[in-house]
Amino acid sequence: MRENYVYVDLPSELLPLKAVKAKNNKARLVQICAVNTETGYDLLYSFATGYHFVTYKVAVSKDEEVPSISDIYPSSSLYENEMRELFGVNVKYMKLNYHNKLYTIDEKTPFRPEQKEADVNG
Amino acid sequence: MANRTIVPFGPQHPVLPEPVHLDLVLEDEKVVEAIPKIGYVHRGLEKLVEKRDFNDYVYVIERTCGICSFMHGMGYVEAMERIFDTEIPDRAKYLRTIWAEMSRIHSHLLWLGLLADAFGFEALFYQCWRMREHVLDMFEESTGGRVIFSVNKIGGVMKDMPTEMLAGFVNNFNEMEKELKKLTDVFLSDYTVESRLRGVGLLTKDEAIELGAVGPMMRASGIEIDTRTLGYAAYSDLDVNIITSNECDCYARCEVRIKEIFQSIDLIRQAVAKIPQGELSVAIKGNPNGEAFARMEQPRGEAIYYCRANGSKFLERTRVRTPTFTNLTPMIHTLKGAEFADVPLLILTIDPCISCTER
Repeated sequence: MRENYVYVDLPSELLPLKAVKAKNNKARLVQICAVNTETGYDLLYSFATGYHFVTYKVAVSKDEEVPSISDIYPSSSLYENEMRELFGVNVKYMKLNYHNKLYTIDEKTPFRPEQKEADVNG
Repeated sequence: MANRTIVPFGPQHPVLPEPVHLDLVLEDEKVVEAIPKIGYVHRGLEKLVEKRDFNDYVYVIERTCGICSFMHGMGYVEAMERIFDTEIPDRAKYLRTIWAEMSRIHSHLLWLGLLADAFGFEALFYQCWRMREHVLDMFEESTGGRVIFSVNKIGGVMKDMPTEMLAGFVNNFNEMEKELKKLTDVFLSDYTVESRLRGVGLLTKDEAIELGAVGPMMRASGIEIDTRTLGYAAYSDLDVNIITSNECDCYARCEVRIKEIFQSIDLIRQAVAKIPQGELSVAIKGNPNGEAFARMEQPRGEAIYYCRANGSKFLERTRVRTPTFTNLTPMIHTLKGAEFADVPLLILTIDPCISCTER
């Protein structure tokens, strides 16, 4: 396997700067996803240039604001809307905000940690 | 000023194979904005990982979609094998490669049929789907299933293909290749087909990168990226030539997919010629701990799999970034400025898989 996967911890305020740098290096935004943690979320932003795959891990507390990178990478809009609707991540300054209308689902933020506890407790 | 109206398109529409909804803002017959809405088949499969053993989850993830079923299973197990830091036997790598390329062939034939149906060429639709049936027959012969195959497991594969079976498959594909050449002439040279596809849905190279296009959608805009060249499974032993087109329109997407079918047949031939004898799997011990990404080239483009484990038998998170999800943004871009009559074709040319997108 020739692939090279790198993980880098990153404070949320540096995220737009790293996104600009990635774009200047002609990296593609390949995915964004949220992972529940004890204190909030790990947000994973992955960029790829050829065989190099770097993931910035942004740890945020539950209601902490996260800057959108949709001004830099327009393709991030769907991911950011998804994180907002399924996990309740507080993404700010989104260029394209579907206002919780992207996913047609009954439950509000079904992947949010409180929801997990509610599911376990029945 | 032109009249502005909003037309709901989908979730149920004759041209849509699966339910996706778009609110199309029209000025007379021209689309000026498209607002997507998904979730009609959202099943929360990623969430289910919290309640299913990591081994059992293979069966869940391959039910993400009935077309890319094999590849979903393969992506998940490759990510898990990275967490376990396990190298699977070479024969298992080759078997995965052969099944993956068979999946690409049947998926592209399915798409070509749907495209032919969308522009009203029903005979072509039937021809494509008739050929696809042969591939499904081969899947049934080798795995026992036509839609869900359940042959992947963490550490290798569960079923083997004997040498005679593989030789028979190569013969079948040789025959199919001859028929496919005739179909290719119709798709790429017929006047009526060209008139519907040429110059429609332009997506330039810069736009494709900017908007996150992947797979044939991206390669049809002249970008040479194919995840198979990363060398996962047995691809590092095979010659993978990246197929691209610089025409950037619906015709180019059709051309790339047709050429990829021939390429897949060639890759199967190469794999059958090189497949080594040996074990099918290695034993996996204990519970996973750690995180890993895996990416692979599905028929619709690059798919990303992420798993995070905490040492228990239940994973903390599994993420599947499907190609259609990321292709929605470029699709919406191509819709802007398009004629309303071309909307079905533009949606189809990303080869949308909504089950994958919504998970």
